[in-house]
Amino acid sequence: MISILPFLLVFGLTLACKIQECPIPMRFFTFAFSFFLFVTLTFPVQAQYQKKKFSFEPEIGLWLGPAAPLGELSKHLNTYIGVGLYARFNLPVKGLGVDTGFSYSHLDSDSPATLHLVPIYAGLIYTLPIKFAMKFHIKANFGTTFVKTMPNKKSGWFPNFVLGIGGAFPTGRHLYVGLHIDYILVIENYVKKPYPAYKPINGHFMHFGVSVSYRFGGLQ
Amino acid sequence: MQKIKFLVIVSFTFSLFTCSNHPVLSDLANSRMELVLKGTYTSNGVETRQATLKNYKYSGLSNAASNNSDSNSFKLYIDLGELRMAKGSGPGRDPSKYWSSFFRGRIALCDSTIASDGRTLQSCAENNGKQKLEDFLTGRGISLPTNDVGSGHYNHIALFVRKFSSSPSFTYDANGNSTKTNKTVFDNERIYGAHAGQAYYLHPNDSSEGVPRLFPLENKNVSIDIPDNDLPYVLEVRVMVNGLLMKHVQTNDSGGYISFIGPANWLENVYDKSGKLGGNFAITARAYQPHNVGNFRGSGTTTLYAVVKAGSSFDGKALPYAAAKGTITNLPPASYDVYTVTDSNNDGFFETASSCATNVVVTKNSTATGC
Repeated sequence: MISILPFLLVFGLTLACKIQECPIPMRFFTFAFSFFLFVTLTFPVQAQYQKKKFSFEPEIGLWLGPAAPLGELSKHLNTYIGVGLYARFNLPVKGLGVDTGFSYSHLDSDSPATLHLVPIYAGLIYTLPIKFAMKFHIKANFGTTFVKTMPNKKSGWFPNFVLGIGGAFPTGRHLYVGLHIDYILVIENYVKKPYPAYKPINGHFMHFGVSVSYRFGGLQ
Repeated sequence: MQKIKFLVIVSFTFSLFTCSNHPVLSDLANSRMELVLKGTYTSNGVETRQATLKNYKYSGLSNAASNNSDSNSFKLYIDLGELRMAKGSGPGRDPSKYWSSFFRGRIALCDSTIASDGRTLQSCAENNGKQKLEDFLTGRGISLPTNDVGSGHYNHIALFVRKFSSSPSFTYDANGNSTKTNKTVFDNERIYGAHAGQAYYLHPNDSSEGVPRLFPLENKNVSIDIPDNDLPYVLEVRVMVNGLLMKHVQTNDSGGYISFIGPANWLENVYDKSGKLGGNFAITARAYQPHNVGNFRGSGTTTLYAVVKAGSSFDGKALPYAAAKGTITNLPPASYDVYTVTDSNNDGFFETASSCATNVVVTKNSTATGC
């Protein structure tokens, strides 16, 4: 039952979002992602009964660090701060886990332009098989992002992809302290152009975070 | 129980993929604003560049004043730093919240890219500053890269001029004979000429009530309406430079004189050692959406017409909302009061305004007539 908690948490956050018609490529992602989640989530449930030794070892973490714009947006926005929460649990495949999370970052600029970014995502995380005190991971997520910009006071929800690497070391039986770098792609270039010369772009962002997490179960 | 669990998860998954169909992030990279900066009194039409300097009115400077050989072939060097607009009467305690700073950069405009020692004015040469100055002064206008500002009505605009230099500038002896060609620094190189020192422009004329000056050049009575939609708009900022320049002469410490070129003393005569030039430059700004404009046509083709929003006052001591010879274009649909303006005393500024029509209604894609 505890495995569903992070999902319920994120689900509550997405309730505020308005459901609008998506273009065809977005529908494709919808199906692909639901299929992916369905498969990954049925495995641990079955495994729970089959393997006594397996443990989900759910983990809840908080991170804080700089959020930076990349590419075109870096000309218009400055690096500022981001904060996020994440939840993870193991899958029966060695090293593999499910990673969900959301974050809030605020980027400002020298001009009136500012950005509020709330990516909400879920996906897979893989702990690298390196024998070292620190645990290193790579991860890939999909999800949705709430975006609000000033001075035009516009907001909307857009699909995102998150790729990340990071490492954490245990500071006790349950507590882990880590560092991570996440790359976030916010897809927006499919939108309708308000006028012909308008060039819709995708958003590229980098999150650097120092994280503290609590792992249920933890070290044996 | 398990089925309910999966239903929750699948419905959650679908809720993840809501997506909007209007751009949000892209707005940061696509500025709706096209900033056009003009150095003319008029808002449309191409003017010829001022060829000779306006006459000066000094008493007791007969020798220096009689040396008028430098009236022709004058050169300008202008370095623009920043443009801001705001809603209100002043920044108060929190300037960063008050101002919307939509252009911040460095635009060097120059009549010559050659320094006094033969070196090149790098920034000006690389950014085509010579052509930009030409476009600025003739009223074609220069476009600058900008950031958007929020929609609404703005009444306050400020242009931060980093340098306003002009050539030639001479030092005369007590008999009024030229003894030295002055030099100043522009674009990190030495040039012949003089920088219009802050001191002159920080002391406004008595009649200009503190604003507008040059560092920054401000106007708190502009009418900029930024439309609340997704379509592009033009922000037209006008600073009258073309046609307004004259030669100024000041006494120096050694009993001689220094001459330099600056704005005409149209507001009030500038006296020797008064050092007050502030207020002689004027700025205004307005916004319009090119798809939603009309025109006003007066009966005369060479008459200079000026319009202001109906009901607002216009006494000829500021730049009007829009002005042109014959036909004024790019007017947002509204009611306007029309004036004819003339430069009665030939000092460069069109200070005599006489009302010729009130409440002229301009509509989209049509030309209103009158006067």
